[in-house]
Amino acid sequence: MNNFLKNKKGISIVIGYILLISISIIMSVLVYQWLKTYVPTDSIECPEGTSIFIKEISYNCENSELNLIIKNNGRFGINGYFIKVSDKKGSELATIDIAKNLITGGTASGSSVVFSELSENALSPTEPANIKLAVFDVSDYSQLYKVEIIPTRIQIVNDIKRLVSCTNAKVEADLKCN
Amino acid sequence: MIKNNKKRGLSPVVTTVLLIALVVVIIMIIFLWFRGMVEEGVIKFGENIQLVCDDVEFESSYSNGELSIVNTGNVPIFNLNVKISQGGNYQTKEIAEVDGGENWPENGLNQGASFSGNIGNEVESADKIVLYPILMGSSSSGKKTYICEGSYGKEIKL
Repeated sequence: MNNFLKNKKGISIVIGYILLISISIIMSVLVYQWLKTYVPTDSIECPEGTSIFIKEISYNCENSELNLIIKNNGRFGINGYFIKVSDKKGSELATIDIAKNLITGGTASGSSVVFSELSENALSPTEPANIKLAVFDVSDYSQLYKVEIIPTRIQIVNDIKRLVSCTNAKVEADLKCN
Repeated sequence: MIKNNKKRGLSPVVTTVLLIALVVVIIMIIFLWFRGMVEEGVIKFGENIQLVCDDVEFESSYSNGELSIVNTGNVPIFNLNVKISQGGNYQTKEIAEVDGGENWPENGLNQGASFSGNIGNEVESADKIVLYPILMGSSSSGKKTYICEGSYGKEIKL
């Protein structure tokens, strides 16, 4: 009994193993957390087949109203769109955001127009609900020459709902006074 | 002789404490030295911000002194570095420091946002400008910006 109590070698070996294993686990977790950030994830983009087109444009220079009929001709629902116009003839890029000038046809939300605040991706691709009329007041600007529209979708990215800009589905059209 | 036998040296407890203290101090020194050598990781959207640079998309144009930029992607552009090249010389400025770039939004260009400014005076004798997006991420020491350099730059010939 006395010999058994005096022999403390077993305890120190167990402590040694526990220390070794716990240090290894802690180091692995630290290295994993650090390396995890270097692993590329899928880039955020709309699914292939997301598409809209401007079915009709009516630009009334006298009333300073821009009417657009937008059609979802893709395979996925669309939540809204970014809309930009240009007041410079021949300019490559339209930079004037007119979302805030929306009169009818949805709700302005920041720099985008949202078709419905109640449901996501409300402009469905199925007929007849795939067409939407939007009217904008453009009285703040002189003659407009170009309109560009980028559709947006709400998508779940890493378990979080995010507004995704569908750059690949961008459409543009020249504007002429009626 | 009997006196000499009593010198047993340090007790096992003291040696263990010394050993542990030494190891801890050495680990701290190595850690601090190594941390200075390794660049601090900046995270955005849960990944290293260097990888997020791949997802930045923006369109730009320059005409009659007017620089126009639209953020067409899904990554907010916090700021822009403008590299103005003339002959073999160049200078780099943040867009807000460029004459005509003062109205760059304070919080950067979010999704779908646009910027337009007349920078003609600043670049009138330049051959080309290159735009490098600057992103805002978070690190252990708070918010930090990161410049997407190299191939992420967008060149505009003047």
